[in-house]
Amino acid sequence: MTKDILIVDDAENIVISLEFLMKKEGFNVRVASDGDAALQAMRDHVPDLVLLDVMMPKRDGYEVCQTIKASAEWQKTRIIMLTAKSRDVEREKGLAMGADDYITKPFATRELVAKVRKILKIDKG
Amino acid sequence: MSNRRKFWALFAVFMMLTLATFTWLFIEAYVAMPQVDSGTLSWFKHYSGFVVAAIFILLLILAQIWSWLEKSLIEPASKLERQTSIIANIASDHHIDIGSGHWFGELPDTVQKLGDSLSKTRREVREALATGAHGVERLEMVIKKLKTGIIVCDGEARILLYNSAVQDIFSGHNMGLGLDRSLYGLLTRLPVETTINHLLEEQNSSTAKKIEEASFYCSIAKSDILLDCTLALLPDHNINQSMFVMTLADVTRNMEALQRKDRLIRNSLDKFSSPMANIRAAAENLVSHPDIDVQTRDSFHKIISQEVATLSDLFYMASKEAQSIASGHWMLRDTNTSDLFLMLDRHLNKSGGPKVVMGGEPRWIQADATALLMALESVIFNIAQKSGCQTITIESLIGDALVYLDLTWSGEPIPAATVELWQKQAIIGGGDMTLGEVVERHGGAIWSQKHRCDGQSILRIPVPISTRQWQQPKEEIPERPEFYDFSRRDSTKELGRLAASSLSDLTFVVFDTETTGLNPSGGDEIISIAGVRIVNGRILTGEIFKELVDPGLPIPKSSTKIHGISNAMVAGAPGIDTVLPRFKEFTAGAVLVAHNAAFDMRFLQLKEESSGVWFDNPVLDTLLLSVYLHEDVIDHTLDGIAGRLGVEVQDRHTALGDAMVTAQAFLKLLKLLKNKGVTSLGLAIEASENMIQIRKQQEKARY
Repeated sequence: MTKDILIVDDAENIVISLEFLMKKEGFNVRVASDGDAALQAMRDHVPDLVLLDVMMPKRDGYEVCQTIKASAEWQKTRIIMLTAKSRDVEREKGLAMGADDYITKPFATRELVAKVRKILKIDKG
Repeated sequence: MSNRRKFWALFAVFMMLTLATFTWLFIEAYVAMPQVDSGTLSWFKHYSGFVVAAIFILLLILAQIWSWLEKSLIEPASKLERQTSIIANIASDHHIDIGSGHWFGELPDTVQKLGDSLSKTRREVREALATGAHGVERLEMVIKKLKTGIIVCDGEARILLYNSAVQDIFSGHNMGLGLDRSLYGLLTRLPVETTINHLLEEQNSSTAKKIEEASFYCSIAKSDILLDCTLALLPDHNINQSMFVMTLADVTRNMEALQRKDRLIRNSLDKFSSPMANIRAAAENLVSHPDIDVQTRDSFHKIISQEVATLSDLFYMASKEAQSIASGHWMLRDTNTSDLFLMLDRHLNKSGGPKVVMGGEPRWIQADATALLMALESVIFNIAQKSGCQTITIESLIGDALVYLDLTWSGEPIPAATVELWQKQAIIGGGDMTLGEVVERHGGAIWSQKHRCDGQSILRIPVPISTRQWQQPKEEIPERPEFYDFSRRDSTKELGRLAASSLSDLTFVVFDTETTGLNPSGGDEIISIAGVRIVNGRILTGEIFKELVDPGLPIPKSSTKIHGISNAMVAGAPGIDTVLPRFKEFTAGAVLVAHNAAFDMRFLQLKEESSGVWFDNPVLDTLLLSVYLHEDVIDHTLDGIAGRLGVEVQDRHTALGDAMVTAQAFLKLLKLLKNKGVTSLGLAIEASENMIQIRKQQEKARY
């Protein structure tokens, strides 16, 4: 069964790479460029995983994360936070908001893919 | 009358009495003569000559006794008296000489001994005082000249001493700085109090090793200025509160630099992460998927080039910011180039080096002066050796954010390779320190180039500029003796106890207001308010309150005529609601004094609501005190009192001038009050109130 991934980031230059990367891994990929669009996309179709950027205009990643985790129908959706903040507290804050994992920018694409596969319980190969 | 005169007067009286008695006897005898029988008469006639002679001899003997008494008792006594008085009052080393043959035994010697020991004691006291005064004078100068702020406070945190460095720190916020004022008007209370309590606890604890001082950061009340403070308690009998001394240094700039540096690092880390992530993801995609279509590949290439450009911009901005942060210069201090050059000249003279000629305007730079001095010396020796030129000009030129120290000589520039080599060499007297290190510390570059004048070259050392370059020179504090005052005793806070306070212990603020008119409740307003403080019987001319006030209404021409304040002068001045809180601060803890105080107080009271400031200080009125002291005099105007008490009148009808005159008159009135037994605030207020009653009755009687 093909897993659905929602990429939420306002920076097009990372979105292009992430979309390419996830498609190459064989996922269904959708993209949202801000928090509101992300929640709208969630309502349209519940994804298995959200790659969620923290720093976004209007609704930031933490808020989106909290909203998703607070909703009963979206309980199964996993979240990986993409954080530009290298400070430990920012990571802790993400986890406290309910994120399942985080990855700090800049990251190795291989590491991200590994994290995604692990969280979605997909065996390697 | 002296004792001697009394003594001889007594003798004269005695003689007269004796003579009178005998004369009377003779007359009696003569009158009775006819009745006396002839035998007796003939006896009398026969012996009268003997009787007269006997009387004469008796008188002679008496005179002899008297003069003998005079010589051995009266004269020595008066001599002793006079000379003892000389010892007591004029010259304690006077040698006592009352001659010999007196009856006073050891008394003159004992007095002489007393005089000698008095003389010795006096000399010792004088010497001790001179030494003490000299010491105090020197200490005073040291404290004054210290660049570190020093404040000494009593147990109630009232200021007993401060130096000019403190004044500099609080300049612009110095409304609350002054002797006998609360430290907490200047600094935030909590850190100071916490530290004091901590030290007091420490002092009263039984641990062997006690902490005697503590450092903390503290901010100036109502400002962003941060001070690095060190506080130590001074020995005191009181275990619950103690005098303390505090050093203060403004660290706002250092802190700011540190904070900026911190912020820069954080921001850079955050900002750099996103473009780097974008580049990395795109690059890794390209590498791991060599088979991707041209369009996708192009889009990744575009991402990489865009993000690298972003990254470069960020990098450029960050490095600019890093340069502007002064925290790297923490070891550099404000130095004036003229001082630096003079030192250099002296050094070179001593070591017989090349001659330097100083040029250019003096500039403020940030420098490790010692290291820079040694570096310059080394460079000058090198240049002289290389160029053969024995006279080198040194000048400072102001650049963008730098000051260039230019060494100029006739000849060719030094090749870059040689300058490079010099930088690796140790500098004269600098131990292992190389020229390169010193250069690095002051901004990191040094080079040689042609001078704009033909045939001349320069070696340029850029150093950081100091912000003092643009600061106005600080006003010198006037030489005045009252910058400290340890003599004040602990005054009391409660008004009840205040009543018993001695007038000589209290702090007074003598003030005056100028107004648009004479009717406070009819809408007249204050346009100027000024006050001076009196502490321990001295007018502190360095602590003056003086503000013009915008009354919010046109000033009548008739009133401008009196005080000379026009509408134009108060334009832009603060309103009364701004000025009164400041004045309240100025008068904190003081007794208010004014001439005809009721008038000024009425104006202040009418503004209580709008300004939110209540003046509940005790008030004394020079007019009422004058009435109390000189009831028989009619003229109790300020001019009248000043004339009577010999106070020089200046600047009458300006708020400050009037306050000054009132203050001087008040000091004289205080002395007169003391003579009349009015020594406490309570008594002075009582006297004033009685005068109000009497004046009221006089008014009634008139109608």
